[in-house]
Amino acid sequence: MGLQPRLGRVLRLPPSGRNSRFLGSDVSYADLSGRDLEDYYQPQARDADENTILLELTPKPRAPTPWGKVTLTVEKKRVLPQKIVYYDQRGNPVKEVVISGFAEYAPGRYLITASEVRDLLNQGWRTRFEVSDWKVGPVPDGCFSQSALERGCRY
Amino acid sequence: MKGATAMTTARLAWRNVWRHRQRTYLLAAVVAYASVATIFYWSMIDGYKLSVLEAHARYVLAPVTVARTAWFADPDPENGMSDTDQALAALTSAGSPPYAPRLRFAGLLTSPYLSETAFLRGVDPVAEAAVSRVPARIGKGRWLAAPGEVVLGYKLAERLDVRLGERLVVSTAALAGPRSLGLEVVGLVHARVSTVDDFGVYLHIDDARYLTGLTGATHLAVNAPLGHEQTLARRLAKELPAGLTAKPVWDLVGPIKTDVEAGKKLSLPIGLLLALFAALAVTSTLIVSVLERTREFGVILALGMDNASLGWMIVLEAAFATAVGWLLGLLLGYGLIYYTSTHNVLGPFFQLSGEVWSEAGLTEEFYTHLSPLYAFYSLITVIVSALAAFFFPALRARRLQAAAALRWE
Amino acid sequence: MNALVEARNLHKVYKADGVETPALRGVDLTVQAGEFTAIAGPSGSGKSTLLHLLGGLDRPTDGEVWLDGQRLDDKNAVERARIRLWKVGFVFQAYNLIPVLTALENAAFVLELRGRPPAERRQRALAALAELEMGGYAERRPNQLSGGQQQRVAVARALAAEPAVIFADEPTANLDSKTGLALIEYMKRLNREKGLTFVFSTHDPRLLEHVRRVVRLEDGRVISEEVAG
Ligand SMILES: Nc1ncnc2c1ncn2[C@@H]1O[C@H](COP(=O)(O)OP(=O)(O)OP(=O)(O)O)[C@@H](O)[C@H]1O
Ligand SMILES: [Mg+2]
Repeated sequence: MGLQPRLGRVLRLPPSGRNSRFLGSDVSYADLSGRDLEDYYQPQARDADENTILLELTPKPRAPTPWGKVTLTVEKKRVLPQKIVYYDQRGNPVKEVVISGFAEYAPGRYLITASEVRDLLNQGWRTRFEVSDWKVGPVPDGCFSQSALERGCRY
Repeated sequence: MKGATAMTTARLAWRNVWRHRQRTYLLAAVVAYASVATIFYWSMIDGYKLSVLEAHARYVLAPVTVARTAWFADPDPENGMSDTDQALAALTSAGSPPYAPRLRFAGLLTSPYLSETAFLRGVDPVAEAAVSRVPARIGKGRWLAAPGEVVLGYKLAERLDVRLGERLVVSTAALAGPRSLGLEVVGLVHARVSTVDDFGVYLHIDDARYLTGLTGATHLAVNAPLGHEQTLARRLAKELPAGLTAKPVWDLVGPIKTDVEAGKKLSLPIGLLLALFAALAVTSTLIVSVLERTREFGVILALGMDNASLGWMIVLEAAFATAVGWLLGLLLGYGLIYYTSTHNVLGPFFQLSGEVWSEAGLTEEFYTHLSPLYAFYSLITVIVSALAAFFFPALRARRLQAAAALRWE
Repeated sequence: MNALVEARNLHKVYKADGVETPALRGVDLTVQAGEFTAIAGPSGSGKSTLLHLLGGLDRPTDGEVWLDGQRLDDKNAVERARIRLWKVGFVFQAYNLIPVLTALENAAFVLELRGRPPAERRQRALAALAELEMGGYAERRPNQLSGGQQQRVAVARALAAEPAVIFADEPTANLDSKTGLALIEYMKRLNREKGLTFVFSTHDPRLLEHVRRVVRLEDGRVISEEVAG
């Protein structure tokens, strides 16, 4: 959601539309949400080495994704993603997400606490994403207001 | 006994025109220049207005647009027509002009590298060709044929870095909530109209209906010959039920209209100034030549021509040379504007003026307009300048005394 | 019998920038048809002024001018122009001819102003040029002719129009004495053979030896009039 100055109106966008660079950083909504991957892609798995599986995702016809292919490197033991690589439709990698930290907030359930998005077209452009503190429980709606998102929210 | 008759005077003047070659050429050249300048100037002014109009009628908007009144105020799919039956009935009773349904909405385009917001236009691929030149201006690939396809302005495609055959993600949120589709780029438009080349996005109207949730169309684009938009729009408006309106392109171009009309108003004093300069040039040319010939006139007066006939002779000489210059100017002027109306020689010039130009809806091409009216304008310029210019010689010939002229050095 | 040209007590005062210059101070003169008259006098004596008044180019400040039974001095510019066209021939000191016209066209110019048909114009102009032995130069422009030839074309122009009188104001002034004398001889022959009336001015005493009637001007007055035996 955001006011588009050129169009002169507010545009409410679906999840796939959130691929745009977010606030000028290399983080985009889609990088952080796993849902797109399941909805729009045809998976194909093979062993990469003894510890990891390489999951190759090809978009379904007319799927609203700009990628030509997405690959996921998944740790066999805990079934946790280690690396996601996004390819354009010409076969070139465009960006990758490397996940380096997890927290187990319930038995067998994990939360990503440290990840890094690298822009492969612009050498050295990267965005680190770290969760320093986390809590389990319901989140009050008020935490999603504009001001709460800016100031932070205690509960 | 009778003095020099009008015929004799005219004949003498005609002979002098050809005998005083250089003077005639000079005067004719000055007049020709003024005529060419006038013709070219007005042709450009009209050409500009028509280019703007044409670009908007054939590329950016439509000759006539039929939509709900609310849509004109806020062109959002929410204000669109869920069915177009009423509008189509009105078209039928107004003589069934060619039309195409359109569904226009704001959305986001996403390529692997970039996202950009745009106004997207859902069109019926076949019907669209009847009202728009865009389908005929595909530079690469082809025009839309079926759902699942998208056609882009070539500059937009360059910015997004998408190529033919690649998938582009189109997203919007309208009546149906947030929705998106991956469409295959099948064609790139090279319309030479900046709004189209820079921002044009065309997809199948069925895809647009799916994305927006609007079952009908936002508006109907109706065809009308250039210059007849207003008439058709008025006729349609009469047939349409309350809540629906038809608007000619000129009413929808917004601030461009005021710009162009202000330009046209400004052009009148400039045109007058042009005529004034022409008058000045013709006058000074004539004055010099008349002063030079004082002794000759003295002899002619001594031999028995009266002052009035002498005055007429000088004026006729100037008039002949002026007429020759005017005809020459017509030839050159119309030749020039014919060329510039068929060849895009001025476009690159105007492009130098940059942003303002492309915001008016045009860039790379500019054609002058051809109208017989410019001959009339140039004639007025020539006559006004001639009247001013002939005044002095005629006056001088009237006052010239033979004895004094003979003593003139 | 009435005189062809008659001036009675002519006065002419030029006014320029508030200064009055008396050019003629009471001139009486008569010229009979067929006469050959010279007006002699030093520079500034009023010769040009007198000829201009007699030919109706200008009007006197006082006095009367009569030409062929018509009074000239009380006529307006249009009427005087018409009288000049039909009755008077003029030859000036220089720049007589219209530069863009050929010798033939110059010789025919007065006839053209009178509206004569082209064939007649051509025939009469060619005849006049032939009289002055200029027949071979008919198609030349003035700038292709010598000064003497130009003056002969000017005389031919007057001749072709067959006026009542020809006024020649110092026609020889720009010519050397031999050529000047030759021009006067042409004029004398036309006077003798065709009975043309000439009034010409000069300040060259050598020319006067060949002229029967000489009127001397000085300071705007006739100081003597002599008719050789
Ligand atoms: N337009 C004029 N305005 C004022 N004075 C004039 C004008 N024309 C002639 N005069 C004066 O009148 C007098 C007579 O001049 P005019 O030309 O008749 O003499 P001229 O005998 O022909 O002399 P020249 O032999 O030098 O030709 C002179 O004093 C002259 O300065
Ligand atoms: Mg003189």
